[in-house]
Amino acid sequence: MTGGEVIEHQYTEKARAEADQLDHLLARITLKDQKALQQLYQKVSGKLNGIAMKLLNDADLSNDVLQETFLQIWNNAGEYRRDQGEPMTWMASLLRYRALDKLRAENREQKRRNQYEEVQTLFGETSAGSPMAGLLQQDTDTKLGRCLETLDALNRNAILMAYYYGYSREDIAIHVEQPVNTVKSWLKRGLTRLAQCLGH
Amino acid sequence: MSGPLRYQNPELQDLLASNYVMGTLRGRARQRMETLMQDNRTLRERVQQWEAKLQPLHQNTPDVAPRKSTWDSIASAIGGAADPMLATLKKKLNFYKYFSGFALSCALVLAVLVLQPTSPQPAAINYVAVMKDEAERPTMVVTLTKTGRLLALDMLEKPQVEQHQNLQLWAVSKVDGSISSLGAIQVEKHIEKALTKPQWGLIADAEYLLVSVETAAGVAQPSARVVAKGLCVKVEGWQAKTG
Repeated sequence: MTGGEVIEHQYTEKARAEADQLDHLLARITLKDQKALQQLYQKVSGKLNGIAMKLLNDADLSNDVLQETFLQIWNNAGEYRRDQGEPMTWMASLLRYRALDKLRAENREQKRRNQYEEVQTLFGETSAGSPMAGLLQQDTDTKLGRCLETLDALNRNAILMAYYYGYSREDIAIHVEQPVNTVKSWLKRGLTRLAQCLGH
Repeated sequence: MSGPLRYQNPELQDLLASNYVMGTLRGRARQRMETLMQDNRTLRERVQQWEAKLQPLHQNTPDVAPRKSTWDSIASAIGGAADPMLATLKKKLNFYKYFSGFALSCALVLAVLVLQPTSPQPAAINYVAVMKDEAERPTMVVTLTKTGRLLALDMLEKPQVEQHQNLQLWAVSKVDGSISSLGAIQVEKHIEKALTKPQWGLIADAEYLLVSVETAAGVAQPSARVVAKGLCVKVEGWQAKTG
């Protein structure tokens, strides 16, 4: 086993132990154990709220979405199946979909276009100061990070703007001053190549 | 190719699943996808695969500590311990449970029935919304009783409203986020109104209730001045759960 493989193996073991803990808490929540919900909240609310903030860029809305997500977890924990995904993936997905609905319901998209300075620089001449540069730098240790690096910059940035910051295709098109169909092509091409690289 | 058959195409499934997870399917397209997923296991699995593929992007997303009130609201909604303010509200709501249904006449009947062990139970509330202002302070409590489709609203703090303005109550759908009016309300400490059947349907579908300040009657959308907002929670006795 190489040094990199040892580190990856150790990371996997740690991640699995954490996932096991979350899985156990979800099982208890299925039985309406309020203490388990509180423990789960203490473990993951900061991360989930961070994800919501990236998408919504609004503390009121992100806290609303976090609250709704935890009530959804309370009511639907029994629907979670470990063989279909990791607990954090399941919870983050519940939160992301609620945040996306909220973006639309609150008609935030237009307002937000003028707020997100860090995304304004995304398609600049240099990516050195871009938040995406940091994101990619941090993620090069993962398979996803390595695969994203192989993508054309426009394709990659369009995927990240949509997934990480909750931008619609129309928003991205406005930012890069390109037709929406061009953005659709970037996303389609980027996702196809990403899927090939990830081995699916 | 017919609709259902078209969605058996693996390439199309993958495209739909990836766009759904990425968040670029919006509005009706998103709803359509969710409907499709209910009956299409392969599509659901593709969505789960994409969720797993992209989740590592959040590995380094910085934590943002939520507000204390967020946990309090969750604890309150699931019937757990909450802060003293919410505990007080809960007691107040317990009072409403027995008295909001038929107001004074019901109270008088109850006063008599309490002495009779075989007395029927008063109508219990079915939904409740603790409405908060911008500063996250509870200012209004809305309770809804299915019997008689009765809405009762108590103002713990009356909002500032000019003479030419009025308050309007709204329901925000949990299905598609659409906002529908439940009518104007007066600035009074306690209000009761009977809802129509379609209005009760809006309550059953509501994620939130809002109260806005309007300068004209019968507007189709709330103004920017929302003075109170609260999650509409379905309750069973006091074992609350979301509606």
